[in-house]
Amino acid sequence: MGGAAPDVTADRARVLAGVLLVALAAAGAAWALAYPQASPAAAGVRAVADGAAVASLGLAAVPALDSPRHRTELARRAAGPLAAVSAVWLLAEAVRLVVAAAQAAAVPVGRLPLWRAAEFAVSTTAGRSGLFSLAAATLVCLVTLTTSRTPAVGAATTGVAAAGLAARAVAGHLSESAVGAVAIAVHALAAAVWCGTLVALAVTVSHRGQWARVLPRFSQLALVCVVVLLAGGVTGALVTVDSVAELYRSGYGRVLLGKVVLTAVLLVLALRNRTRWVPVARAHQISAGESRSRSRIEIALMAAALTMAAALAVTG
Amino acid sequence: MRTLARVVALGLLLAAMTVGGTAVASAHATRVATDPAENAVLTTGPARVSATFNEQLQTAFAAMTVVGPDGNLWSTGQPEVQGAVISVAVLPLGPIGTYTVNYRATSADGHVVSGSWPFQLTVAATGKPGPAAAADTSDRGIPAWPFLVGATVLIAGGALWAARRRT
Repeated sequence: MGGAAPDVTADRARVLAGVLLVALAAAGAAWALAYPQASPAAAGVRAVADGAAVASLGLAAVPALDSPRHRTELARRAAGPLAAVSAVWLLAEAVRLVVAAAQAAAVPVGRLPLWRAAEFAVSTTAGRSGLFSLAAATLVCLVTLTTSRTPAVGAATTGVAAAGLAARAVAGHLSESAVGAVAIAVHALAAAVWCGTLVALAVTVSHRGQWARVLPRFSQLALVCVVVLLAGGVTGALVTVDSVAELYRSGYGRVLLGKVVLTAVLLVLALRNRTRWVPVARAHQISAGESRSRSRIEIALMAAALTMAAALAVTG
Repeated sequence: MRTLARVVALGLLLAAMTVGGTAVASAHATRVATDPAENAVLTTGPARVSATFNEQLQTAFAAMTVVGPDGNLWSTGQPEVQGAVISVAVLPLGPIGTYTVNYRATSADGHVVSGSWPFQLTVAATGKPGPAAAADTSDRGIPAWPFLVGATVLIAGGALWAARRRT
């Protein structure tokens, strides 16, 4: 196993680079789809914050996918990446708050006074939900850096990360409708658990025996997530979109349509992986490297879909 | 089961697409009414002007001004936000011509909605204008960005230090 570890570390850089590249392409596509309604700066910051939050949630939760005997080992491997992505999440949240405050105050980011940023954070719903996410990210980062990884700590970190993620969904576009807000928060959490745990597996699991243990459990979890994600997403779309024409006439509708298409492609791929990858991985018939490259393809599509979701959240 | 879920979801989505009538241009707050109406022709100036939106507005970060044909401010005091309505008091108007109401407000989800609409005054009044519209009170104070940069350095440094210490 000692020989496999550097592989994973090299893979982490590759996964990160790939995800950034795909996210950049998706951001460009979203900007084109929403033109002229989207703000690239706001969408970019949002995408980084969302991606880091999703990865934090996945890395906090991933030990639960292994058998109890191996959980501590997986948690130890996940700790370093978790500290790093939660720090990125924390910073992205701070930048997001300042960018949003500057937009509300109609001044360039460089000229926004500190008191205006503080006023935005305290006295607007968007600001308060941003503060909540900021606090959640800080807590996850501090806990990961300072405590040893027991199952209780893992569960608590997962909960805090989930709360930080949900806070933004609740205060977003659909905050005017109670049903819509709940639906979209559930949708976002299901997507985060699905995508986050797969990313976490790709950066922590290093040998085929481990894939054999974790992949069937991940597959079960993913199925539940997908069902919840679809139910939440469709409910949210019903609340937001009033007519078919809106789906192609408004920038918001076009980005939503793009996200639906990406999700459909992702589902087809996930279904293929479920029938072709999970059984062979369970039977130890596939190398760890091949398992990781399969996970990377799915992660790339997830990154694109999440970037679309981030663009959707900031599109007027 | 997954296939079933997809079929159900697709069905729901198609159903959602066929129902529904009025198209709203965006998912954010949009202006639904103004007082006075856009391009209204008035003989006496209004005491207040207001714009109504389809969503609740945040009470903070609201701005509303009335600029006259002379380029001066004819609105006075701070704009007031009540629910989905933003309004501002107007001075007794002066010269004949086009007055423009400019507004900017933050909707419940934190997005900024801004715009303007004109109305006409056809009978000159004797009101005195406020300051020139260009002399807008700009935000002053210690800028926020150095704190952001400081926090970035601190957090990145702290995380790196902690990561080094662990290994």
